[in-house]
Amino acid sequence: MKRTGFLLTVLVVSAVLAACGGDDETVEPAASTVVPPASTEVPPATTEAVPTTAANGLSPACAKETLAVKTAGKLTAATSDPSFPPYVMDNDPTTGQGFESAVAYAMAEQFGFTKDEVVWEKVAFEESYAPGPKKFDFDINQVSITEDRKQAVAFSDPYYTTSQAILVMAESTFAGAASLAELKDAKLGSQIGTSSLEAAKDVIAPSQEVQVYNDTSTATAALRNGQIDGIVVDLPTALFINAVELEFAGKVVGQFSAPGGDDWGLLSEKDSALTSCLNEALAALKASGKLEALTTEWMSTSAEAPVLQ
Amino acid sequence: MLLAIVTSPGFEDVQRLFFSWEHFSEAFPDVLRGFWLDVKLFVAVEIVVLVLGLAVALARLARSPALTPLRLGAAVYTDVFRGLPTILVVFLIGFGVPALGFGFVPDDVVVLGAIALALSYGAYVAEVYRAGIASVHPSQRSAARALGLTQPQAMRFVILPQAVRRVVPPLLNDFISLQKDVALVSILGPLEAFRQAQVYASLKFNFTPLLAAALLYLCVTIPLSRIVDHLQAKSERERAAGGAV
Amino acid sequence: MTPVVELQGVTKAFGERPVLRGIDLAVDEHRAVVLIGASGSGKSTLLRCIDLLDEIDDGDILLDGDVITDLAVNVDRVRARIGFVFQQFNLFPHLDVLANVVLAPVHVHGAGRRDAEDRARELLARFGLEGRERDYPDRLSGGQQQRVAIVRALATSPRLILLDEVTSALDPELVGEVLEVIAGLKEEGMTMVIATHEMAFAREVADEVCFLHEGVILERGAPATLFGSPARPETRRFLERVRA
Repeated sequence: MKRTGFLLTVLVVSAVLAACGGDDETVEPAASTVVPPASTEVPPATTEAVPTTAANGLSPACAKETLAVKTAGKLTAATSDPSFPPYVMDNDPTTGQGFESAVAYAMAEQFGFTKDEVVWEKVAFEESYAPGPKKFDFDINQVSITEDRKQAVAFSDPYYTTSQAILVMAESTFAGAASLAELKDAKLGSQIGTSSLEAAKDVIAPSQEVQVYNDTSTATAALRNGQIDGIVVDLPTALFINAVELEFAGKVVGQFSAPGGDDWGLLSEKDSALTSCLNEALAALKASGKLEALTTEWMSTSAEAPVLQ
Repeated sequence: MLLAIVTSPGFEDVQRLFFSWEHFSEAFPDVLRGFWLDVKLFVAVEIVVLVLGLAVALARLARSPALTPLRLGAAVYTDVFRGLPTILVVFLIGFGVPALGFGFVPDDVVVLGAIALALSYGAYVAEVYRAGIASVHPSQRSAARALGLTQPQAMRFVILPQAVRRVVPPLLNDFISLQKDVALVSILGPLEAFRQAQVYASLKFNFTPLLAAALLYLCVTIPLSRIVDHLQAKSERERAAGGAV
Repeated sequence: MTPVVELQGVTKAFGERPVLRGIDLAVDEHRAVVLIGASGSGKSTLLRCIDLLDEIDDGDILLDGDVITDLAVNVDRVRARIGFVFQQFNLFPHLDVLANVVLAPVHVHGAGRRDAEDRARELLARFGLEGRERDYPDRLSGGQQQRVAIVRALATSPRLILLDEVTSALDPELVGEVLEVIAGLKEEGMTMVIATHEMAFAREVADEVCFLHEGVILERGAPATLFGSPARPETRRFLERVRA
C-alpha cells in the first residue's frame, strides 16, 4: 500500500512537472525525483509555473490520484439500505438513478473517476456516525448538517436545502389546515434521525407526542392505517410518497422551514482530509449548473405546496 | 486490560460519544419518561401472557377427543408464534392488522404492540407450562384420580400447583427477555426508552442516551435475574431434600 | 351375599403382551385377599384395573354387584368408593398432611372443610400421626408417608381398599409400622385386596391368598394351606425363592 502510494506520488509529481514544464528531462520517470540533485536542477521558473488546478479542474490536492480516498483508485460512497426514492430509485444506488445516487456519480465524475470506479457501501444511519474509522469516503443519505453532529463527523457544504412538509390523508380533518397552529392537535409521525422530527416537535409543537418511525415506509403505513394524522417529512419525500405510495390519496398540506434550516451535506469521518475536496467538487458542480440540473431532474418543485406559517 | 482500553487511540472518541455526562443528563428525563411506557407495557403483557400461556398449555394437553380442534389450534398457535421473530409479529400486528380495516381493531399502536408481544410470548410461556406439567410424575395423576378427583380437579389441585412451582424460574427468564423486547413496540411509533434514546442519539450523533436506556433496563432485569437465581437455588435444594422420598 | 368386588374373566394386555389372562376373583365384605407372585405376574395391574386406572380388555368387574367396567359408568364415582395406596409417590408434595387427607372428602365427597379436618385429625391420631398435620410430606419418614397415604385412602370411608406393595419402597426398619396399621384395618373389618412380597404378613392378615403366575391365578386358598402345602410346583418354587 505504502509503496504504491509512494510510486503514485512520484508518477504524479513527474506528470505535473512534465505537463507544465514540457521539459524532456523531467519526463524521465523515477530518476528526476529519486535522485535529489536532478530535482534541484529543475529551473525555478518551472516550479513557479506549477498550476493551481489539477487535470480535473480542482486544486492539485484534489487530483484523482492524490485524493485521500479509502481505497486507491476508487471512490467509496455510502447510503442506507433500504434507501428510498426520489433519492435512490429501486434501492439500488449503483444505477445513478435518483437524486443522491446521481449527485454521487456527478461528484465522482468531477474528481475524474469513471462510473466503474465508484463503489457503494450500505451503511445504516447509526453506523454513519459511530466512532472509529469509516469504510466510506462519504455518506450521502439526506443527513442534515448541525453543530451537534459536527462533534462526531465531518460535513461537506450543503448539496441540497429542503423545507419540511406535512403529508396527511386527503379525507383527513387536517387536510384543510392553512397554518401550523391548525395542526397542533394532529397526531404526527416522523422518521428517526431526521430534522423533520425536530421540526415537528419544535415548530409545530403538537399536543400529542410525535410518533417516531424507522423509515418513511412504516410512517406511511401508520398514516394509511389512521394511527397518525400526518407525517412530517422533507418536501421532496412528501411529494414522492403522495404520488407513488399513496397514489394521490394523501395531501401535502404545506411546507415550512426547520429551525436552523435544513441543509444536507455529505458525511465523512471526523477531520477527514477529503472534506475540502468534496467542497471543491460541489462548488464546481454548482458552478457548472450540473447540481441544479440534477435537482430539477429528480426533486419535485416546492411550488406544489403552500408555505405554512 | 482497562489501561489498554483507556490508552487506546480511539478511547477519547469513544468516551465523547458514549460517556458524555452532558448528553446523559440532557437526554435522561425523556428516556426515563419512555421507560415508564416500557414498565406499563411489560407489566400488562406479563399478566396477559401468564393467563394466555396457561390456557394454551391446557388446550394442548386436553385429552378428550371432542377437544381435538382446540388441541390442534393450540399446537398451530405455539408453532407459528414461536417460529416467528417477535419483531415481525409486532410489525404484522401493528401495521398489518389495522390495514385490514376491521372496525374492532384497537387503533392505539401501544395496545396493538402489547397484543403482538402477548401473542409471541404467550407461545413461549405455553410451552414452559406444558413442560412443567409434563415434569410432574405420572403417579401423581394416578394418585389424584384414585381418590376420585376428576381430570380437571386433578389438574387444578394436584398437577398444576406442582407444575407452576417448577416453572417459575423459566417463566421469569422469559419475562426478562420480554422486558427487553418491549422496546420492539417502538417500530410502531411510540416513544419508549430505547426509542427516546435513539432519537436523541441520531439528532446529536452521540450514543450516550442509549447508555441511559441500558441502565434503566438493567434496573429491572438484574433484580429479576437475581430472583430467578434465588428460586432456582431453592428448588435445587428442595429437589435434593425430596430425593429421599 | 354379594361380594364387595368381583372379577369375571378379566383380561388385559399391554400392546402384544398379555398381563391378565382370565381372572376370576370375588372378595366378600370384611375379607382380606392377598395377591402374591413374582414381579410382573400381574398383581399391580389387577389392582389398577379394579380401580379403573387401567382399562380392561375383556371380562367384567363388579362393585357391590354393579358392573363398573362399562363405558357408561362414571369412573370418578367408582374410584370415589375405592381406596388405593400405591407403592410410592402417593402423597402430594405441595400439600401438607392434613390437606392431603381432606382433599378428596372436600372436593369429591362434598364434605365441609371443618368436618373433614376434624375427621382427618381423628384418623391421623389413630394411626400415630398426631402433631404431623401441618408437616409437608418431605418432612416425614417413608413409613409415616405410607401411613398418611393409608389415612388418606380411609378418609372417604371406602367400600374397599387396594394396597399395592405399600412396603416395597420402604427401608426394612420402617416396614413393620406400616404392616401393623394394615393388620389393624383388618381387625376393624375393612375389605381389602393386598399385593405384597411380605409372606409372613400375608399369612397373618389374609383370609385368602392368591398366587398369580403369568397373568392367571394359579392357586388360591387359605394361607395355612397355600403356604403349608402348595399344590402347584410353580407355587412351591416361588415360595422357596422368596424364603431363601
